[in-house]
Amino acid sequence: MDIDKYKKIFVQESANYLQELTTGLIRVEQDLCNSNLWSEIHGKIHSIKGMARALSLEAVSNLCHQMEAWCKEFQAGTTAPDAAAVQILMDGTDLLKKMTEAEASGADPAADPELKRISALLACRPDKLDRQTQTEPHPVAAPSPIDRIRVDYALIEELLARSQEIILLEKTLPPLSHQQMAAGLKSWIDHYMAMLRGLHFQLARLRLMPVQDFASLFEKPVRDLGKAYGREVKLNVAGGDLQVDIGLMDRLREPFMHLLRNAVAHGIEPPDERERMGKSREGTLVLAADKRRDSLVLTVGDDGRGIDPNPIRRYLREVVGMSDPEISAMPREDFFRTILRLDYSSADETTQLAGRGIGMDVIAKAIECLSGALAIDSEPSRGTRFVISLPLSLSIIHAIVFRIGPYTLAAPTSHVASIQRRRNGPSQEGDHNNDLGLRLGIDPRERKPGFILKLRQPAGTEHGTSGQPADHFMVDAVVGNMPLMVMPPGELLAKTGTFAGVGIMEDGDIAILLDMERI
Amino acid sequence: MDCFVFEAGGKRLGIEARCVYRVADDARPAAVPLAPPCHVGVIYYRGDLFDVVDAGLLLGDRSSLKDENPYVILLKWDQHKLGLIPERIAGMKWIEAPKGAEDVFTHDGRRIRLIAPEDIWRLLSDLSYGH
Amino acid sequence: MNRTSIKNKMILSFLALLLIVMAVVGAARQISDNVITGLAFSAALALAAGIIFGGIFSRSIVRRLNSLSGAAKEVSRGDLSKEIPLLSRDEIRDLEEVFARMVSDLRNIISEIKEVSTRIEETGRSLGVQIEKVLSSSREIDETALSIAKGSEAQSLIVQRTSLVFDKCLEQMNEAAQKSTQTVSRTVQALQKTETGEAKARETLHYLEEVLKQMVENAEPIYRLSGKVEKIKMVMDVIEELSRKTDLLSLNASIEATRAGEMGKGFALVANEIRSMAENSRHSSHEIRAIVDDIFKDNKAVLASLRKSETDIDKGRTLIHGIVGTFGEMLSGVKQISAEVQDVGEASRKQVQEMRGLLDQFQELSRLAHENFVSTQKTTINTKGQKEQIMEIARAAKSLQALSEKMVETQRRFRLPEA
Repeated sequence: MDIDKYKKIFVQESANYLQELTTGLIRVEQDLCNSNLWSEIHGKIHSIKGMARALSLEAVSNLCHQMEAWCKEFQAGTTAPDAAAVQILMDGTDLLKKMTEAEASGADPAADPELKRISALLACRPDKLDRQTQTEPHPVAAPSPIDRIRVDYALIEELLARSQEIILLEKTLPPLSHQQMAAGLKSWIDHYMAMLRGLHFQLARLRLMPVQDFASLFEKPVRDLGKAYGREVKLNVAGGDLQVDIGLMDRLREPFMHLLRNAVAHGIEPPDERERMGKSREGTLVLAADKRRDSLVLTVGDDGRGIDPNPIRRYLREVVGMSDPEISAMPREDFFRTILRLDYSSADETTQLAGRGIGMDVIAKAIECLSGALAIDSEPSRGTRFVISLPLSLSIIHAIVFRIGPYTLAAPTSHVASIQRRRNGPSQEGDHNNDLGLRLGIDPRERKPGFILKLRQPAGTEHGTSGQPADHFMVDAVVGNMPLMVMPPGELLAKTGTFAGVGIMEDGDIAILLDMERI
Repeated sequence: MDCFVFEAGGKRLGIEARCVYRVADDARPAAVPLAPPCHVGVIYYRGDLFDVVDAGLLLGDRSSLKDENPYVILLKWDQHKLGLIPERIAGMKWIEAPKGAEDVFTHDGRRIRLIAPEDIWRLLSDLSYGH
Repeated sequence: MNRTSIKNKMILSFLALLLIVMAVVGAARQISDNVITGLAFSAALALAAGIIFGGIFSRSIVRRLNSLSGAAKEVSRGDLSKEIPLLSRDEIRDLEEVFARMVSDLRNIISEIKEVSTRIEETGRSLGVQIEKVLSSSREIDETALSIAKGSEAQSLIVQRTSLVFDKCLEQMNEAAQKSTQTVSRTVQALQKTETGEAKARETLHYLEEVLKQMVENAEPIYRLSGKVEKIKMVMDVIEELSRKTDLLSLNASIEATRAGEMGKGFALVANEIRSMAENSRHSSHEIRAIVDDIFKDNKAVLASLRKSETDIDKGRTLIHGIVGTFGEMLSGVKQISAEVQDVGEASRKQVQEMRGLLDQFQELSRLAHENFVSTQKTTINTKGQKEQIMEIARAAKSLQALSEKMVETQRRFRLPEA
């Protein structure tokens, strides 16, 4: 029995369970007497215990056993759980995480001093807790970096990179003539390459994670924030099934944390205030994800007090030098976007806005780097909404890849109605109007038009900025209709205003994806 | 400090080691329409997208492109990913940190001009993209 | 015939004239009263009448005189054919008659002369003809003698020359006979040599074939070498690729080492070492490639020249085959020649003998011709003396003829009336 291998598997599996355990505990905190929830929690702890036992991980299984005992009681209803108990269980869960990691790295799991404390606590009966021995809540930090899904993410990247390199290696095959190659070797190589490409492509899909998973990373921090600032707050997720690029989300981790912190600290009112205002005691934070045609829209909203407009007005008046009518005439979006300005300082402002200045800077920069846009909307006493729209983030779409001049470009298949061969002959009318080649600045002498892509205008399309939308593209050659892994275009390419992203084909070659709404 | 030294556009330049990620050699940049002339294309390297520019044209006075398969110095800093095509690579060198002035001397006596990646990015951003 | 004298005529005329004058004067006086006018008129008339009469009178005399003078002119010219016109009845008639008598006398004389001269002429002519005949025949004899002499001279010369030629010929034939003997011995030698030559050619051919086989065997490794050079090139490609990759790797390693910070310092050094090694390896491989390229080029050149040598050797082989064949032909040819040469030797010896006989005869001929020549010379001398005498006679006849011709010439001047 290869212990290390099984230990690794144990760590991965238990991490999953621990995550679910955390979620479960959070939920049960709101619904303390829900025996179903307790049953689930119990089950999870039991599973971890079982695995630990199988691998003779004593410390872990003991702790699990203790926690399990409590859960049994709560589930049976013999003892009524309370927040403190749940807190302890949560601490236990955190500890379990640390211990399992310790096991994986070969450290002594029992060395953690926390273990003593929690063990001691769990040893008592839940309703006989000595509440003074509780520790203060720790400072709340952002969730730890995403480094695990089911598989080590770095491994995925490595796998992706290596598979890409292996695929590219084919290009360095020296040209072999028929005599020099053993019979059947060429076909074997082709087969091999096809399989590699398939592998690479599937690996690429591992880069996606559902929004729900991303959002659930923030559940604990939000809860902790609530605790820290004395608010009651819950996190709702909308559009959780949407698949988004892990790398992208990872880059939004800090910004989101800032937004959430701001929302909890300054947006959501204390429960009593809320009650007075007629709102529910518990504030709601919403993390919503929506996929528009070619962009991903993430919304972070709260139903708190909204952004105070007065400091903004003062700033605009005093620092920018705008007049009151001008300020009133500003559209809401622009008005609130003022707080993103670099020189917008909150040093001499009321505590309501304290901390916003620095955080906003980070957020704005991150979004800029992703070629995205940030919109802010706020209504006093109703709440605030930060809408982040990112251009077609990493995803896999089907596109028609074609060549025009020296470039290889792509248009989403959903926008192409048909492909026709162009008959050689005198250029027809309309050939030069709206010609894609002209728009892209391609020298007409490099063109050898052979095909026409007839475009479809899907319902709800606005006309492009050039006025007359193109209804067909004249291209030189059509490579094919294939799935493309699309990455965001980057700052520089985004400046052209023509491209939605960079598409990676199965064999690693690149086709630049056109932004059909801007063409 | 450690400095990655290369020659481009007739100049001897150096970049702080912290932002140098890799040197790639089998990159085939895909050309992007409407990009300025020094923007050679984009490459997909080990999962990341890099904008590849001709360092000679951007930072000096002559193009660095000579053959099909140039070395590309891949830079990664903050959230930026950039590839530079040099004329020649000298490699990682240890140099005395500059005291205010831009030019520094290496231990083999040649002058190197230190450039910060942010400056390169600004140069690039200021160029015209599109019509 | 009645003669009138001129004197009577004149008196009559004068009287007539007087009458006329008186008549005229009388008439004149009647016409005009003026004496002077009458005188003038009558004088004029008298003058006129006088001129007219005078004229008529003199004319008739002058006329007859003129005709006489004319006839005399003609006679002086030699024309005696015309009759003298007897026109007058007066004294002039006497003149005319006398004149006529003179002319007829002359005529007679001249016709007699004519006859004589004619006869002389004829005689002279016939003499001349005879002399001519004699002359011509002597000339003929002369010519004949000359030609005979010439002929015999020429003949003798020819004979001399011919005998010389014959002598020479004989000499040559002797030589030829000797030479042919030599030739025979030489052809025998040639035959031997040809046989040896053929044998040698066969040997050479055999040798060449050996060489060719050797060459082909030697070429084997060269062909293989070119294959190896190709392989070396492939290996070079791999080495170059490797060194490039090593270079890249060391670069990236130094980057990573830098990231590792202090720990990476040593590694960075190593990476740099690797980089310079890769550089060196690249240089070396460049050099090697250059060398290999050279070898390849040389190899190609060698191969090319090898192939050329093969073709040349093939050509040589064909050539030698040809030579061997030629030698064989030569051999049989030489044999033939040798036989023929021997025949020739025989024939020439016979010829020599015949020539000797001929030469003797010829010498006899030569002697005869010489005698002939001498006698003709004597004849020539005799004919020469004879000829001189005839020449004198001829000269005399000629002068006679000339005189008679002159005579004829002279009397021809005189014309006689047709008889």
